[in-house]
Amino acid sequence: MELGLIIGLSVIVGLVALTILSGILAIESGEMMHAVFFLGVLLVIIGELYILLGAEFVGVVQILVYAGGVTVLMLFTLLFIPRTKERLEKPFMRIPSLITVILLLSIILMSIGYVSPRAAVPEIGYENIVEILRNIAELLVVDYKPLIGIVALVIFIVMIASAYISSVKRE
Amino acid sequence: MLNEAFILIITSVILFILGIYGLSTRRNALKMLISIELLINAAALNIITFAYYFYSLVSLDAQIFVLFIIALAAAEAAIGLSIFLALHRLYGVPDLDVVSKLRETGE
Repeated sequence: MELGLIIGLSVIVGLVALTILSGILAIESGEMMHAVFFLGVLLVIIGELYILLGAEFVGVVQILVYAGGVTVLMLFTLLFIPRTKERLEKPFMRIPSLITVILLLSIILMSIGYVSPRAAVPEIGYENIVEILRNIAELLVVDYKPLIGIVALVIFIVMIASAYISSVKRE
Repeated sequence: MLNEAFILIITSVILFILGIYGLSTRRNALKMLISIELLINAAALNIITFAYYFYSLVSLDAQIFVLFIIALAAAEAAIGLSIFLALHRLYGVPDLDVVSKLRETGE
């Protein structure tokens, strides 16, 4: 195996290990602020994976919108409420869930074992990125125009609903 | 067998199952929201991985779908956080098992 391939594989394995570790910490961390921080770490690493996979525009949007916007929104929401520790579930609720998850994981991993991914990776140079971005813009404006309208409508409704729900007061 | 596509598909599977585990064991609204974000990101990572390794990148539909997923996930996070704030204001704790407004009283 060539040195470049080994380095590339090591980078991906390292990023993947960090992703899984931060995902576990985001779920299992008792302190809410730490959980949101680890979620931000996970979102940034997934954005880097997108960039490594040739989806540069999606990776940048992921880091800007998701890791920037959503994580900061969660942090500000946490600042609005008094600091409380998470009330943990009773242990008998967690053990069946853990067993179910392990069974599900083993079934999915066994089924993946029968799929052999062929690495038909296209060569992407930096001169092609501009072309890809132009194609994305054309697709968004021409082919996916109705879908963009629907998404804009959904986001508008979400804004109104968020303002209404936030104004609910105790009776 | 150990190539990048296999590793990334397994990663998205593990993220998805972590999300399901968090959704089924946690009652805190913010933790459930974080679990839903994990589910959405696992699906998006799966889409990008399959588009990169199994199909040509000339059709950019996968990237556009992931862009839509990101936009809708941001909207979902906004409305989920406002529900989280409303829960905390009404009940004092942001746990979903204290919400009983829609539940029948059993009379």
